[in-house]
Amino acid sequence: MKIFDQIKKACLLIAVFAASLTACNKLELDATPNPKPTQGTTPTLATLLDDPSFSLLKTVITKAGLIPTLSVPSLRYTLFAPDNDAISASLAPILPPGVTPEMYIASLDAETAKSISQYHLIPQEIPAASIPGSFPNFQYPTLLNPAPSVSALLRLTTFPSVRSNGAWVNNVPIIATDIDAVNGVMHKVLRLIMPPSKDLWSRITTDAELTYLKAAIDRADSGAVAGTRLQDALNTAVNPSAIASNLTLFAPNDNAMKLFLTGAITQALIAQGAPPAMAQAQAQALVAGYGTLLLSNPASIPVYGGQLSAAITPTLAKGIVAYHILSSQSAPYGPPGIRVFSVNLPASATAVKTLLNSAVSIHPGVTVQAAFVSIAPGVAVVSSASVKGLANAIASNIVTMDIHCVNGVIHKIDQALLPQ
Amino acid sequence: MRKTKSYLLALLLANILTIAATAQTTISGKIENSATKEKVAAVSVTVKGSGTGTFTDDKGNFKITVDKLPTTLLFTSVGYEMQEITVSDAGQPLVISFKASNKLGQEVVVSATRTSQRMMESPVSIERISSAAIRNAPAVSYYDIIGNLKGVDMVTSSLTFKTPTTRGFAGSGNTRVNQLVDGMDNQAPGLNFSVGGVVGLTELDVDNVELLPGASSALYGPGGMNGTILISSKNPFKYQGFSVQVKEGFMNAGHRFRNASNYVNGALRFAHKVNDQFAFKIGAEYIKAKDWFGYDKRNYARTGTDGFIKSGDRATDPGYDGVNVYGDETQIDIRSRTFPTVAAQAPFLKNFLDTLNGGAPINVTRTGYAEDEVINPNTINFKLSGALHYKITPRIEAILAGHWGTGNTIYTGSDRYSLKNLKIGQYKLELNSKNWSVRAYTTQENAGESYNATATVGRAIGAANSYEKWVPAYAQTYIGARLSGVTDADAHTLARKAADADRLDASNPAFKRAFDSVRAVPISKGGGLFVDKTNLYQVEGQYNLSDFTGKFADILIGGNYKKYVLNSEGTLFADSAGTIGINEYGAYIQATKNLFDNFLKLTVSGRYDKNQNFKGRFTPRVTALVRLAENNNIRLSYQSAYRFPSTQQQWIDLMVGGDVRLVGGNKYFDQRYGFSTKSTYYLDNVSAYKKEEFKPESVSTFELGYKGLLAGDKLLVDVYGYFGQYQDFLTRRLIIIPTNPNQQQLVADLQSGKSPTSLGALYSIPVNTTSKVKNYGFGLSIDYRLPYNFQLGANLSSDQLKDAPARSSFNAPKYRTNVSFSNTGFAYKKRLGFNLTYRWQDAFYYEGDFSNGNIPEIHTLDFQISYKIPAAKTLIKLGANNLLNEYYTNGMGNSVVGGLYYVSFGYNVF
Repeated sequence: MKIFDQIKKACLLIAVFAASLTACNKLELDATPNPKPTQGTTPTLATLLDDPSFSLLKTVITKAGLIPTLSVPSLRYTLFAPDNDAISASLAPILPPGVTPEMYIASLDAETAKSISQYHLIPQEIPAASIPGSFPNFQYPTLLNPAPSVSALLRLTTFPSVRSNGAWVNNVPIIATDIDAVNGVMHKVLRLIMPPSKDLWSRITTDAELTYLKAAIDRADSGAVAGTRLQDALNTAVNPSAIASNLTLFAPNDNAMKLFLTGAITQALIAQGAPPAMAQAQAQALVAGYGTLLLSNPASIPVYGGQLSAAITPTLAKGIVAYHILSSQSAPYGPPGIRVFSVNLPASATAVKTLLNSAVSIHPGVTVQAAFVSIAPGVAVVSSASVKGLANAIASNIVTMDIHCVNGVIHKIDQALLPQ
Repeated sequence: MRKTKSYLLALLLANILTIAATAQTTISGKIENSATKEKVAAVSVTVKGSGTGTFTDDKGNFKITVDKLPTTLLFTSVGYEMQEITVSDAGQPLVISFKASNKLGQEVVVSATRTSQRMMESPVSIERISSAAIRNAPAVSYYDIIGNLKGVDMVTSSLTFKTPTTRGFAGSGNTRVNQLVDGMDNQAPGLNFSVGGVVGLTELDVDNVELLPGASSALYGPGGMNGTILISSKNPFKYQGFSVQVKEGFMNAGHRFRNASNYVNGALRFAHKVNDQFAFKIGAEYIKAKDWFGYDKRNYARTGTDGFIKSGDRATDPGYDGVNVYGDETQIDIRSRTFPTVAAQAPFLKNFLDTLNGGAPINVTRTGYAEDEVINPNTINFKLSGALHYKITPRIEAILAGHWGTGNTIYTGSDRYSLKNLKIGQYKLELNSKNWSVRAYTTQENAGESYNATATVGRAIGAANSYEKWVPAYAQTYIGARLSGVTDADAHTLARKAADADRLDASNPAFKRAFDSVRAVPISKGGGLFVDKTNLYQVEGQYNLSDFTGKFADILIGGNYKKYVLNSEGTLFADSAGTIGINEYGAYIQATKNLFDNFLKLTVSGRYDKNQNFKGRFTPRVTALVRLAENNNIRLSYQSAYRFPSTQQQWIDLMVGGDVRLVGGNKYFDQRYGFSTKSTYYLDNVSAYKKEEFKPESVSTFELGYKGLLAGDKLLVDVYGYFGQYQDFLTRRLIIIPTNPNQQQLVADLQSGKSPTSLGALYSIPVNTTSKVKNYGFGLSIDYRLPYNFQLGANLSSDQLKDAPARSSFNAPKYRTNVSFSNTGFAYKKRLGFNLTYRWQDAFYYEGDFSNGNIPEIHTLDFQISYKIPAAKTLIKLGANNLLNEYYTNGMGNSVVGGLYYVSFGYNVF
């Protein structure tokens, strides 16, 4: 159809000619992109590390291979940055004689450097004002995934907190806030924030001071089905989901547990008609003679086996252990609980719920308290802390604070907490 | 009552039985155009002083039988000067040299008063398109010409789906304009749109189109709030012979949206007068083209029928919902859908998750498909019509007629719909006499394979890649990215990429299969198909009593009964249990009297209608025509109109895009969904829902106009101004039955930015607004006859709404104008013709059930040039619609219309 082609051409010619003469229809058809927020390119968190006072940290992060990541302007991070003094102070207790912090850092392997670096980074821009002041702290994931093979979403978390007297990440004071970068914000910290490597269970089972506690947990778990045991919430090796437990364990050391056991056995013997003085002497002898076996397998104790296993029941053990672990502060009071570092403890005595509340919800819990000392304006550390059970006459002292584990934190105490 | 009936029957019989019987002579002859020597067809030949008459056939020949000689014959035809010839010898065939008339405004109209009268003397505003105008118009379809009439706005859903309106309230499938084709209501009874362009008359069979702008239900019944359009076909007694017309053209020139494509339109008509008693006609028209499409990619903030254009595109708004992009209507809050599960498995992420997006909902949409990707562009329209005309007596004509049409087209309602194999048939039996008429007809509708494109795409997306898979994949990637320090916007981009990894191209056969299987399943069963086999039955009659009452006044009476039978098998209406019937009846009376020696003509009409679901309504009309001088008349009118809620407004029960259920106003729905028993709130202000009476809407209008011939009858001026008031407007409002019945909680949740659909069940209910809305405007047109048959026409009109409530959908530009310059015969033997028409309309804000937004001003230029070959009775036309190919859209979400260029060959087109 040649004629059509010619007509088409003619029409097009007319159209083109006429179009050049008249006004156009305005067509509004295209979507308008939302504007991207404008931003500069410097400083980045990486360039902030060029400051000589951060040379050690820069070395660690460089080893970790994270400098390029921290140089991308379109990503967003919060970097908790210990300067050279902070790192040196952190390393001081572990440095072998003659090894300088610089040498130590230089000797770190890439994997360790990466873990440390990632644990100092939150994948979000969190200015100091955004850190909530509520008890105990605010849990944020870091970049550190302890087991990528388990889940890509797995993260070890940090716990920033703010109070009127200071701000912290975990138990480490923040000494300067809101150093701005285009790709995030940097807060200076007083020490290295070491990522936890062990879980609560492995810490408990390997700590020479916590053998009675372990035995108590074994007793509590005896007869219980796997999955409902206390240790299932503590042991990430058997139960990967335990990484989410997030617990605070007030761990009575062996002395404390021996005292507790002696008291418990004494009372049981008195209840069965023994004179108090004799009962106490027998109890002391049993504790001295059989140790943790009294907890882990009381039935096996000669002569007293029957009485002991009737007195130290799994229920009792479970109740006692549960009373030493802080739970979430609202019903149903189970795990995941809260991770309370010493610095998160209130300055005045305050009642906090424990896992026992999941069975006895009206129980007032334990009373916690810490004393702070200011080491610089807005920088405070804990000088002493205590926790008191409802039936304890006096508060237990926290003798070792802030043993940080993957799924919780342990504070060793010198007296077992008595719920009733 | 019984007595009146027998009287009427006697009148009817008297008319039927008046048959003369005398000696007869036959006169024959032919009529030629004095200038071009063309034979003139369809000229009325009548014996002066008697009712007998005939028409010239397509070769200009006539034959008429008279009682005696000598006799006087009158020859009349629009566009020619009337001739009167006295014949005393029937031996020689007559040759009448017919002189083309230069007079303007001589056309005769029927619709203004339901009786024939000169257009100059119409007591209300009226516009008319004659078959000559259709022949000389650039428009590719006669239906498009309506859009160039004074005061008319056209909404173009697609190439063959156009909806005209006057004085505002434009919309696809406007229910406020009555369209009558040969007296039959042209509205699809279930789908509620007028199918004029799709199923109406074939172009070759259109005698004329008359338009009554504004309120006009006093004579034509409920519905004509914004005008009544009457399209009349050609009587086979008058227009005879074989006609054919082929238009071959192309569109989408310039390849802006798609490649250039062909346009084909073929039509034929054959009418034959077998004898003086019997004539018949058949006609067919076929249109095939690649349709215009909607290309509006702008981002739409959608909540049911409310919404607005906002910024953002697919790349920068995760909740992007393009107007003409489908499948992206549903906002999925990944926070509420997935975060609780993630936080349960990974409690250490809970705080982090809570802080994302400031704790607000994170709404995302599926990646949609653009209209041109998923909808078949082939538009097809096939119309078939036929009629048998039998004169029982010379004065009584019986007509058995049918129009049937089928095709594919695109329509914008609450969503974009693809009408596929839609079939609509209209069949009537009619008896006409000089003084009375009786008509019975039915409209048989079948939506065929029509489907909701929006819903179909959304569900096809789900079928191709399930939401259960897509949403977690999106959320997982999003969270993972945020955990790596990626910004919110970039995390969304990565998440979409990951979730869409399996996304199929629209052209992928697997997607097509998913699409086709969804589109075949009814909407109510999770697909996109809407089943609609709704029918309408109507009987009506009219009697002109003037012969008996003429001394006092001319009186006209009429009445009708109609019945809708809704049948969508539960897919569109709440009729899953069986069809729903709706009965309606009405009656009207009109009295006309000339006063003061014909200086003033007064007409009073009134109409009463009752629908079984609504109280009865009376609509009065009063008109006055003041004859200032010959061909100079002032008209004054008070008109009213109202509209019963459409069948859909009464009974629809349909889930639409954005998870909103459209329901009708019938009290049935109140019980079915428990609006009154459950805690139900209006979404716009969270006040408690209260069931209100559901009423017809109404309008009353005062109009003052002037029509006159000036400047030596070379200038026809028509001007009007009107002022109207609407009340009980029908509009839609969203209500919510929240999952949590607490009102305060609902307020808080809505303020926090939660998507309403996540808070409960949303319903869009029809309501009457309480405010009275004022509407005013004017129109002005001039037609000027220049020398050598050149003609200049221009019109300007304006419509405005005052105190409009929100979402009144007025949808009218404040100003619009049409200017045309034309000639129907000039140059070589007056064989050339042309028409150049320019239209401009102002920008306006368009509100529709599908989307709301600004429509920029529109300029269009149409042009045609034609050449006649009288010997071959052929007209060749070269035409262009939207000559400059300046794309425009005249309704939100509607097709973007470009230039259409065609050449037309017409044989025996009169």
